[in-house]
Amino acid sequence: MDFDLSKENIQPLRRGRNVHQLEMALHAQTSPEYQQQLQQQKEHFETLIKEYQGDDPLQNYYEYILWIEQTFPKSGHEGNCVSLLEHCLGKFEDDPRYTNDMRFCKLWVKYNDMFPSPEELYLMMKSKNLCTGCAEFYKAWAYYYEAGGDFQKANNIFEEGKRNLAQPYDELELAHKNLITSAGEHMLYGPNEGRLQEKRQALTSLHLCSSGRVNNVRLPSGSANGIGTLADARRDGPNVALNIYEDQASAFPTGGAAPTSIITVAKRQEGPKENTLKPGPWTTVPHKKRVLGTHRPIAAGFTILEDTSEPSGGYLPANLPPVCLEDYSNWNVALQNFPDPPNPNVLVAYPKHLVYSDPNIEYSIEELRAIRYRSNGNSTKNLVRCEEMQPIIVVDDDEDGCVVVAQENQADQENNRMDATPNFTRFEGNSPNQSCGVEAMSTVSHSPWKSSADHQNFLQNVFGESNEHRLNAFAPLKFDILEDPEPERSPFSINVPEQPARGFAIFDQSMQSVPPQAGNAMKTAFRTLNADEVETGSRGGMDGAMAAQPADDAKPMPVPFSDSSSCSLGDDSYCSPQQFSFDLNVMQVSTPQTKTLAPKETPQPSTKIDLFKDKSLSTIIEERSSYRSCSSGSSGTVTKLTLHSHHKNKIGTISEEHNSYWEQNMKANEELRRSLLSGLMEDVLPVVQLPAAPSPIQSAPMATAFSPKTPQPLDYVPADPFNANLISHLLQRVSFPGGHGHCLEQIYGNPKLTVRKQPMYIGNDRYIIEKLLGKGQFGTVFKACNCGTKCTVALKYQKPPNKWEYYICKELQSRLANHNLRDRFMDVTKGYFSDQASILVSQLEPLGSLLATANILKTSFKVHKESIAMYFTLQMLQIVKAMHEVKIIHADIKPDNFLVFPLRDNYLGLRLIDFGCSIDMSLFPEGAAFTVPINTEDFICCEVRDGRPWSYHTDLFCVAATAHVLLLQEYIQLKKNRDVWSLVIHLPRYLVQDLWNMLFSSMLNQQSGPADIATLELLFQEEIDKPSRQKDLRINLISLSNMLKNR
Amino acid sequence: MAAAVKNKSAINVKGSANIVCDYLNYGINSILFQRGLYPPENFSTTENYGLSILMSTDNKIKEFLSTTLGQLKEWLVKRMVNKVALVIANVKTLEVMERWDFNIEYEGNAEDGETRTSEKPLKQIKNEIRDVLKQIASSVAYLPLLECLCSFDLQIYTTNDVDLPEEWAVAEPANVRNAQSVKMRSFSTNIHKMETVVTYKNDD
Repeated sequence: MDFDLSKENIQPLRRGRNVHQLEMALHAQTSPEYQQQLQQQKEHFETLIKEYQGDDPLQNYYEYILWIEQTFPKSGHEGNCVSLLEHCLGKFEDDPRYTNDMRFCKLWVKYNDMFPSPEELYLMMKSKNLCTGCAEFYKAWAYYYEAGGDFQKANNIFEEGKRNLAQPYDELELAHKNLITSAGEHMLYGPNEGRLQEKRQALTSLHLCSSGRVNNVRLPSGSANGIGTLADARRDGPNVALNIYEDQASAFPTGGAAPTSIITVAKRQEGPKENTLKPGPWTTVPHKKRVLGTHRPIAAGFTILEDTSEPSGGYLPANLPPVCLEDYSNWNVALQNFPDPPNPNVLVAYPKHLVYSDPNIEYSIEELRAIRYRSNGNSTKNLVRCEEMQPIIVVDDDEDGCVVVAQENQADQENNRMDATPNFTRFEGNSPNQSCGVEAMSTVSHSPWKSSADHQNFLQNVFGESNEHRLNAFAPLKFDILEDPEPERSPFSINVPEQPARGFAIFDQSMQSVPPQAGNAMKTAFRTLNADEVETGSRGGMDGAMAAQPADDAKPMPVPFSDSSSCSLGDDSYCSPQQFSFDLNVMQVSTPQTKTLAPKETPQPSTKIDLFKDKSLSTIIEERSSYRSCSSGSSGTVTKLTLHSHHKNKIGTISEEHNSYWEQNMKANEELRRSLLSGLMEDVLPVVQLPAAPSPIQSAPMATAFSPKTPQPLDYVPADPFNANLISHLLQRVSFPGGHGHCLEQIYGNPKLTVRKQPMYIGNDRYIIEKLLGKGQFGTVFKACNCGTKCTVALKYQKPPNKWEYYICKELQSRLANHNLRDRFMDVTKGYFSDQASILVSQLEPLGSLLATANILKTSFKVHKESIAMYFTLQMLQIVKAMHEVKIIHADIKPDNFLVFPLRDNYLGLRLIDFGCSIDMSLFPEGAAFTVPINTEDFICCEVRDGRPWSYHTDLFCVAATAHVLLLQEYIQLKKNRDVWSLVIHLPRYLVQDLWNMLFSSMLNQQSGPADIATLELLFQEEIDKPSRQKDLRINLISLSNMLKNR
Repeated sequence: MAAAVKNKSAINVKGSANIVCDYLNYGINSILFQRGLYPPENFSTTENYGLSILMSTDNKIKEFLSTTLGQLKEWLVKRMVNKVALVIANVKTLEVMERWDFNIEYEGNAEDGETRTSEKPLKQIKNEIRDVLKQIASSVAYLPLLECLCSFDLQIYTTNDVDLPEEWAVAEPANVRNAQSVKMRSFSTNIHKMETVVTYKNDD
C-alpha cells in the first residue's frame, strides 16, 4: 500500500479511512477497471436511494455519503459530496424522525465542517432543535469555540448539551472534561491551542470554501464598504445609469424573517459574495482620486450581486409579530448642523448654501432640482395652460371681451380688449407682420390633449394617413362643422352644458362678422376656392353626411383667409390656398374643440357627435402633431406648412402674409395667455407690435419653412447682447432647445475630458479623446474619435454650458437649410449639456484654421499671395452675407474662427465656427444696435472705436481685418483722418489696389449703415473670374493645400 | 583480504538489534508526533535515514524510551521478543484508540545464536527503514482523528521464559474495537525482520 506516494491527495477524515476503499480509490485514479467498479457501486447506491420505500430513507443516504467520502479521498468535486449532503440534509431537515438521529447529526457535522466558521449554522440548528439530543452535535460545536480560544462559550455549549441529556452522555461528559482540562492548561501554560487549531484546520481548511474567491484587492480600511475604485472589464462608462437593487417586501420590519432552511443560509454563506473581485495585477489599476460631484455616477467596479431567488413563501416564522408595536411616526431626528469654517481652499462641488439654507432643514439635491424646475415654470405653466383654456374661450365667445375683463387684472384690461377676439377679427387684417411666440399657439390648442393618451395614439394613427387625403377631406369638412348650429343637436351643448350652443354661437358670430370687413375682393377669391373644394371634395371621399349638408352658411367663413393667401400665392399651386384656409379654419375649430375636450369630461353619447369629432379631431390632431413637435422641441405653426409643402414636392411657396396670420393668431393667444399668467411668469417682457415691414426671415421663403421658430423679438434693445442674463432670457424665449432637441443630450455632472487612450463616455456615446486642439477663454477643443461611428470629431468643452452656441449653430443650419453655403457654417452634430458644462460635437477639419493658412502664407509663400487672399476674402464675404441675411451676427470673426477644408479639385473652402458670442438679430427689434464694446484685440471695429452703436458692422469690419491678415500677414492697423478711417500702411503697388482699397474703405467706414456686401462680392468675383487670376489661383491653391496637409 | 572485506560489511546480532532499536526509537517518536499525542513544540528535527524526523525533546519520554529500548535490545539479542506494541489510549477512559505493532521475526537458525552475522549492506537496510518511516508519516491520511487526550504505552511481547526486571509488569493485550489494520512495509537486517502494522478504530 503506497499511501506515502499519494498522501497529499488524501483528505484526512475525522473518523479515519477504510484502507481497502482507499486503496481501491487510489487504484481507480489510474486504472479504468477500478473506476468502472466504483461507478457500479455508485450506481448501486443511487438506485438504492431512488427505490427505497421503507421508513428509514436516511440510512441509504448515510451510507452513500460515507462511501463517497471514502472513495474520493481528495474530497474534491468529483465525489459531489457537498451537493449530496445539501440535498440530503435539506430533505430530512424537517423530518421529525431524524431530529435526534445520530447519523443525521454526523452528516450535519460533516457539512458544517466544510465552512470556515460554522458557528452560525450550529446556532440555527439549535434554534430548530435539530440534533440537540446528540452529544456529537455539542462536541463539534464546542470545538469551534475551543479552537478560537473561547472556552467560556464552549463550556456553555457543553453545559447546554448536558442539560438536554444529549446521548451518549458519557461521551459528552468526557468531552466536557477535556475542555475543562485544556482550559485549565490554557490558564496555566498560556495559549496552547495550536494543536487544536491544527487538527481542526487539517479537517477544514483543505475544503472548498473560499476556493477561487480570494479577495486580492486590499481596499483601504476606510473604504471597505465603499465602492471599489477598480475598473472592471465590463465597465460601462461614467454616465451609464447604475441599477440600484432595492430590497423588496419592505413591509417586513427590520430584522427580517429568519430563513427556514439552514441549508439556504449555509449556501448563502458560501454563495457569491458582493464586492469580491477576481485576483489580478495591482499595477494596472490607476489610482484615481475621487472628486465629489464629478460627472461620473461612479461606474461599479464590480458586478452587482443579485441574490438568487430563493423559494418564497416560508420566510416568516409563524410567531413573527405583524408590525412594530411602537409608533415612530412622530419621531423627528433633530438635525445637527455643524457649519464648516469657510475655507478658501475647498471648492464645494454642490450648492452648499442651498442645501443647508435653513439650519433645521437639509435639502437634497433632488429637492433643489425640483424647486428649480418648478420655478422655471415648466410644470406650472402646463397646469395653468389647462386652466386658462376656459377664459380664452370665453373671450372668443363674447367679442366685446367683458368676460375676460372680469377675470383679469385691471391693468391688463385694455390690452385684453384689444386682443379679445384674436382668432377671428384679426384674420382679415391683411398686413401686420407680427411674429409671436409659437409656444403660445401650441399650448392653447395643445395642452388639453396632452392629458389623454388615447388621443396621442389616435394622433399617431391619423398621422400615418396620407396628407393629401386629409387635406381634401378637411376643407369641406370644416364648413360642415361650422354650419351646424342647431343648439339642441349641438355636440358642444352636450359637452358644455352650462353654456348651451355657445361654441357655435362663436362661429356664427365670427363668421358673419368677418365678411363685411373683408370686402368684395374676398368673395371672388372665395369662389375660386370653392371650386377647388368641390373638386377636392369629390376626390377625397367626403362623408355622406357632410356632402348632404348645404355648405352655403359656412362659406363666408373661410373666405377672408383663403382670399388673402391665394392672392399672394398666385396660380402656381392649388393646394396651398386650400391648405392655408384649412389651417386657419382648423385654428378656429380647434379652440372650441379644445373646449369640448377640456376638463369637463362629460360623456358624449351621440353618434353624430362622434362622427363629427372623429373628423374634426383628426384635423386638430394633425395640427397638434405639428405643435407637439414644437412644444417638445420648439417649432411652431409653420412646421405644419413645411410638412405639407414637402408632400406637395414643395410646390407651394408659403406666403408671408399667411405667416402673418399665423403669427397674429398666435400672438393674440400669446398675449392673452401672457396677461392671464402675468402673475405667474416672472420676467415676461412687454410685447411690442412691430412695424409691418417684412423681416428677412420671412422674406426668405424656405428659411421660414425650415425655421419654424418665429419667436417674438424683444421690444427693447439691450446695450449688451452678450449679457448672460439676457442670453438665458432669450433662450427661454425661444424655448430652448426648441426644434433642435434631437441633437441634444442631457448629461449629468461635469465630464472631465482628458487626453488618454481609453474610451470615455459622454452621455451614451463613447469617445477616445486623442488630442487637445486648443484652449481658450471660453472652452477647450479636443480632437476625439467617436467609438461608435469611428468618425473623428472635434469636441468643444465649455464650462459653464453654452447653450447659446448650440442654438445659433442649429438656427443657422435651419435658416439656411436650402442655402448653398449652409455647409460653410459649423454644424453641431451633437450637443451634450449638463448643468455644469456642455460639450458640442462638430466636424473636425484637419487642415486647421485660416490663421494657420496665414502663417503658411507668411513663411512659405513669397509671392502670389494676393490671389489666395482674394479667394478667401470672397468666401468670407459670401459667408457673412448669408449669415446676415438670416439675421445672425457672428461678432467674433477672426482668422482663427474660419476653418479651411478641402473642396473638390483642390479648392479650399472656409467654414465659420465658434458662435459662442453670436447675436440673433431676429430676437431684437428691427434696426437694433448695441453699444457694448468688443474687446477682441485687433478686431475692434471702427464703430466701437468711435463709440457709435453697432450691429452688423462688426462682422464686416472683422472680415476686412481678416482679409488684411491674409493679404499682408499683419494685423490691421488703423488711423483716422477727419472722421475717415484708413489703413496705417499703404498697400503695395503690385496688388490690385482699387479692389482692396474699396474693401477696406467701405468696411472701415460704415457710418451710414453696414457696408454693401453684395457690391464687394461682385467686385471680388469679377476679379477672381479673370482667366489669368484663375490660373494663378489654381496653382497657388494646390500648393497651399499640400502645405496644409503636411502641416 | 577476504576476511577484511567480510569484516567491513558484516552486521552481527548486536548490531542488528541496535539497528532495530534505532528504528523503533525514530518510529515511535515519529508516531507520537504524527498522531499529535504531544504538542508539536516538544519535538525537534533530526536528520536520519535521509529524512528529517521529529524527535521528542521531553526528557521523560526520552528516558522512558531509552530504558525500554535498552531492555528490548537485550531481549532482541536473546531472541526472546516477538512483538513490540505501541498502544495509544484515551487518557480518561483508557480505551485503546490505536495500536502500532512492530512484529519481529528472527532469520536464520536459532542455533546460530549470537554469532550470526549479516552480509546485507547497511545502506540498503537504511533505505528500507526510510521507506517504512515514510509510510508511517503518510498514515495520517487515513487514520482517524484523535479527538481526545491520549497517552501511549509500550508493550513488549516476549517468550515466557524472560526475566522481568523490577519495574516491568505483565500487561493485558491491548485490543482495538472495530479494528482495521494497515500493514506497512517491512525491513530486514537478515538477522531481524521488522514488520510494522497499524491497527485503528474504524467504527463508522
